[in-house]
Amino acid sequence: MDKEKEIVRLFSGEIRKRLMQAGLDYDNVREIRLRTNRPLQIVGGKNIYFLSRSGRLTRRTEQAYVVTKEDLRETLEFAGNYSLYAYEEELKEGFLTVEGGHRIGVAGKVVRDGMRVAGMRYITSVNVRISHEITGCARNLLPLLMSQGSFCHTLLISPPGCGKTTMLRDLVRQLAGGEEEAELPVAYTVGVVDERGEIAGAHMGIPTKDLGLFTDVLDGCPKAEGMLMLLRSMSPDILAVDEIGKEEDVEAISYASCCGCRVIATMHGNTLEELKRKPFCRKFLEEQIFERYVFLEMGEHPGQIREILDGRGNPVSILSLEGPVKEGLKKLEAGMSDSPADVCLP
Amino acid sequence: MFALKLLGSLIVLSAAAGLGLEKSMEYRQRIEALSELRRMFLLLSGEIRSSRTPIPEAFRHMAGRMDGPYREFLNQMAQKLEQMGGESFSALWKETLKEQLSGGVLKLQKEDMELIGSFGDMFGYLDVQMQLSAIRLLQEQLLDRLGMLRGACAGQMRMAKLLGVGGGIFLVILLV
Repeated sequence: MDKEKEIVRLFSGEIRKRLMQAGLDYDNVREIRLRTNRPLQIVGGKNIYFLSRSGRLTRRTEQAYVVTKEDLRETLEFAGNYSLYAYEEELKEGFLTVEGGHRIGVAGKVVRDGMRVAGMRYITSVNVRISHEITGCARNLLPLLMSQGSFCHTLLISPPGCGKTTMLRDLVRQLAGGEEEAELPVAYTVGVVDERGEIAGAHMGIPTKDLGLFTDVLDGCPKAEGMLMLLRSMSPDILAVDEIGKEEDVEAISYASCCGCRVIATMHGNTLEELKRKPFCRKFLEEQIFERYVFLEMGEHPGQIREILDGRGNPVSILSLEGPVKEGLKKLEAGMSDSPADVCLP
Repeated sequence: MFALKLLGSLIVLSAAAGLGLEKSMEYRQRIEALSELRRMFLLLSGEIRSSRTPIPEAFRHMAGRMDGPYREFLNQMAQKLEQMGGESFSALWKETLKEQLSGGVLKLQKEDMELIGSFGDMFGYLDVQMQLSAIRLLQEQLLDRLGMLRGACAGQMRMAKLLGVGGGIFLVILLV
């Protein structure tokens, strides 16, 4: 499906109309944010705009279209495919993932059951984070993650919104035989535990993103359990997971590595020192489970590689990041500048 | 002459009895339609409870297990929902009901259509339990209506037949 149609149809009628008028290039849009009684916000890279009542981008709040309660209600109805009950568990986590792998974050009044979040009502903020597939963005990175002919256990680390999932996706694609000109000796069988549905963007179980030829996807499955399931049933050479953050995730990774399976994962963070302060990271740091730590940052564009460290924390030589890597990453913000016109279709 | 009168009387009697029968058949068809619709909501509740299936997909599954106008109704609903054209569930539900199940197709009365139509306004809860409760409420309302109809129906069917035959006899006497 056309990306514009895929995104625009998530929204209420009033917002949909204005988004169509604006004619945005959705390859350059990172987020569309709705807050009740506040201007509709559009984020691309580091730039923030509002959508005006006449369907144009503006930086002036007085011209901005103000989101109503009805807009939010309708948007949730469409985003949830008329079936918000089907996303009950995800909504307890504060988001749902829709066709195409786009994540829709929600905020509002939380309903509690003791200390546990039982649900949410009076949703007053919605953040549509647009998923981007940049084929080839990890092309020059992959050789640096190989050692003596085999793939190293790799952890991609960055703050939110810096392109970890996009990079992970392209690495999976290349590892799983998706790159015709790859210099890898053999294509791997890759198992992906896609707990939030963002890596594969699966719709009715079928991935909508290109994950290569030899990839098996567990959609919507908790990471730790998913890794064990894939190990038992799908014989993966490599396991890929997104956003590890609990001890059980690390336990499962440790178990997988002991079974001879390579692991590639992502997590939120900024520096190695920061990782050392997180209790759940202690195990993999002490045991040196990961052989490569790749730190990403926003920079000029998301997905910019700041440094690559080995398992002991020493820098890995970066021979060159020219060519397809930079070109691919630049696409994330191509055309974005202080001028709103740059985000519009010609 | 007598034979002609006899033939005419028989025709009038048959027509009147037939009218009565038709009326009683309408009751039966209305009961069958409401029972099928109740079964449809039971299937929906199963889809939601067991698999939390999104509604367009649930309707497709259900269409495979129903016949005739119900199947067509469910397929039409699934198609419209999948298009995500910007209308609310409630609007699409009522519009499709009107297109596929009204107009005497199932012998449903206006109040039956209003009851089924009200489901559109009950749909869209954030959690499964509330959604299932809404479906359960509708099923109970349908069950109440079926009970009322079945109770009244037996008597009314007899009455319809009797009136049909009785009216026919009266007409025969009047005309002959």
